[in-house]
Amino acid sequence: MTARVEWLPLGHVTHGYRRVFVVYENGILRHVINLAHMPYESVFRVKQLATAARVDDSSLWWGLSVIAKLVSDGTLLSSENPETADDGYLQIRPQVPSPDELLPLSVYRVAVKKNALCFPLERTSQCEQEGIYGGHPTHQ
Amino acid sequence: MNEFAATVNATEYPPHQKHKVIFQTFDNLRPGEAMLLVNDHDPQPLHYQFELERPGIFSWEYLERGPETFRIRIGRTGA
Repeated sequence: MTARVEWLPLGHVTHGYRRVFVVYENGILRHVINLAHMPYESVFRVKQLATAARVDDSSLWWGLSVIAKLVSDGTLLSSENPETADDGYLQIRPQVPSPDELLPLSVYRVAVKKNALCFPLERTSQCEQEGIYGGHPTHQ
Repeated sequence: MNEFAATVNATEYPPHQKHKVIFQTFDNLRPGEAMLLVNDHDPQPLHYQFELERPGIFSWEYLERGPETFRIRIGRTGA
């Protein structure tokens, strides 16, 4: 079972951004998730978390990190969470992440290059047991 | 000679157009030029937006910092 996360172009809301992600499970569109609002200041703080490395689109880095965690920890799986919206549409106001909640930059950069973040879902629990983020995606 | 190549009084624009007009005005500046931004509140979110979308090519200097009027010199430092 695999997950694939794609995203729409960056959007603006008052004093911040919004990001829309589309989540596919085994090639089937399962969720459209709107992250808003992502304040400019918070996005800038996330950018600073990259320290020495340069991140051109820190709202995408932050957003992908949120979605990857939601997917990998099973929050979005309807089989595990019957309360998940029937139409697959979710709106979430993301909390400013701590450094350990962000995807590794190497993973983020591969996703940007491929225009999608892909990872196998079966490995999630194993990753959690190994203490890797709570299911950090790895690339196929 | 005017110190500023352009002036934007943000209070004259509807909310959804303010940042668009400001960035368009900034983008029309040549390196070394500056614009004057006038606003009725501290445009800190705009400052962060500049940090994200025009990193390394702008300067930000408060000429007047409230309480009723804020005047900021935004300079273009790079191409």
